[in-house]
Amino acid sequence: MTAPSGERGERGHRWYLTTFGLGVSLVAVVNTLSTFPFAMSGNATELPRNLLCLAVFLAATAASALRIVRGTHWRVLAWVWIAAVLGTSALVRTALPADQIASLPDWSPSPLGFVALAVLLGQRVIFMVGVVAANAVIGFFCLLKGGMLDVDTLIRFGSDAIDVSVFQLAGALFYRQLEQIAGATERDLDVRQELDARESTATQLAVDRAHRSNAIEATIVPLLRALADGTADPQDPQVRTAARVESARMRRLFAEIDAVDDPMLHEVRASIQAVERLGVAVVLETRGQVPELPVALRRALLETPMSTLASAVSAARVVIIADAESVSVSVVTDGPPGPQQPDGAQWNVRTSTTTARQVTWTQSRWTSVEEGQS
Amino acid sequence: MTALITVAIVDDHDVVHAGIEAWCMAAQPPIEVAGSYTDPAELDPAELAGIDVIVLDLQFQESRAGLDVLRRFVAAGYRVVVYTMSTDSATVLTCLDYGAACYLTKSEGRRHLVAAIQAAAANTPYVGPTMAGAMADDHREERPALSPREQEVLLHWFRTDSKHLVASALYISTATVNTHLARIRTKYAAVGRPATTKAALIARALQDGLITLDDV
Repeated sequence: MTAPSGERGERGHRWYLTTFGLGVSLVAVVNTLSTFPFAMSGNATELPRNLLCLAVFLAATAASALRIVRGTHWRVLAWVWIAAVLGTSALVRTALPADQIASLPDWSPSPLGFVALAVLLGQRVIFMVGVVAANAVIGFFCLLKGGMLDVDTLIRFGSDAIDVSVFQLAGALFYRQLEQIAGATERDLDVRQELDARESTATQLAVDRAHRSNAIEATIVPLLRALADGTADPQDPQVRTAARVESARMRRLFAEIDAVDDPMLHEVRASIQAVERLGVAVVLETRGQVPELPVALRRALLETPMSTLASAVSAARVVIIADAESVSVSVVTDGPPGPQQPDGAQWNVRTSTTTARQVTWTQSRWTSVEEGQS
Repeated sequence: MTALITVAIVDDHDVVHAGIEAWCMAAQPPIEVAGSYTDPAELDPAELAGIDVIVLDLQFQESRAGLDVLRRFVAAGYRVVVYTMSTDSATVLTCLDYGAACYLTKSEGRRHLVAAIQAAAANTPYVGPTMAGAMADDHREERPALSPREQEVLLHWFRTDSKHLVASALYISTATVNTHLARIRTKYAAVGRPATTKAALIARALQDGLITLDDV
């Protein structure tokens, strides 16, 4: 058998609390109905008081059972029910002859404890102790009123008071412990979920970093190495263009880790800022809302157009048109086209480049369904 | 010899006035700036009698009544080229509905503004790239029905700002691109504003370049 885990464990503890509460309510009802007939053996003329007490006990138990099933907590209402239960019990007991206190006709103290336990479940245990004490005080008051304060009567009364309250107090303590275990389990669960979330985020970040690292290793590092060992001439226009393309790519890769509302637009803006610093005038136009796209897809979509943007000489136009099903990124520049991204097809990304009169237009388009299939 | 085109500029930034004046002087044939105004509220349409085209900004520091000014000038029979910062599609389409001859953003600059002024003066349609983007993004019920090819031309023109690139990508000539754009603009003019009388309809058709005075 495996230990409960996750939400199952949390639900399990709540289920134990509810079941225990309903068990207490059931005992309260059974105890009330099984002791009530002894009222007939006492003063029969006081039947209406006894019936009222019976009705209040059953109503308080039923209301408590409903509260337990719903999982709600009472504040003022609990004390209203306790006052009603103690009040009707006192009404019944004060009508009894003093010599019948703590005997069979004095039926209400035993069920009162269980009814009070059902009402006070979830409250502090000291309140239950208070109710038990009040129950005993009422009985003692009845003895005092009838002048029955001899030693035998007091011993019988004390023994009976302990008998009828020990189980209820034990029940209150048990429920309290169960609640504390449930609370501790829920806290453990929260901690475990937070740890799981952190682990998942760390894993995703590691994957993203690895992808970025691979992207840098493939193109940027060889260029830097060539510049360092002198095989690439910084004055060579091709080397300068390659440096601009890689610089823009690095800016875009760094922008991927920023938490922003529209990551793709943010990454495009990072590329635009890179070329604007080199004196290129860029016009950015957007139409529609870009849907949430995974990093790898955004990269496949942006790689070629942003490389073309990085090759711009003096002016560029960047247009993004998006809806829920498709996104197109279009770059028009007065420079040469950037290197073609090789693996866009696996993401349903199609890239095209058109050149006319020294103007280059590179466009990448992603559609959620492969065109021709829809 | 063609008559000199006269324009009035309504914009609250001096630098815009200076820039447009320089572009107009350098245009071929030159365009005369016959009036420069910074506050549209003080401008009476009657003052502009004889002006061919009004270049109007929509956003003024003193007031936000650019659209009302546009409506007032159009109602007075002027051809208005809106030249403003906003690229918002709804604003573009509203201006077209109000009867603007053309809508250009300030980033579209000299090439488009001079061409749009010349087109407005000659009563011929002109569609700038931002205007094309708004038309392609138009999802209103009352939008004119465009053919798939026209929609494609609009989107390509919006993306590239180059008729040569549009022509090259769609394997058509630049003249065909111009024809498509003119036809689209004409369709928009036909559905934009209500023309309840025949006279109003003719006036609107003249204003939008659908017909010339010779056709009336």
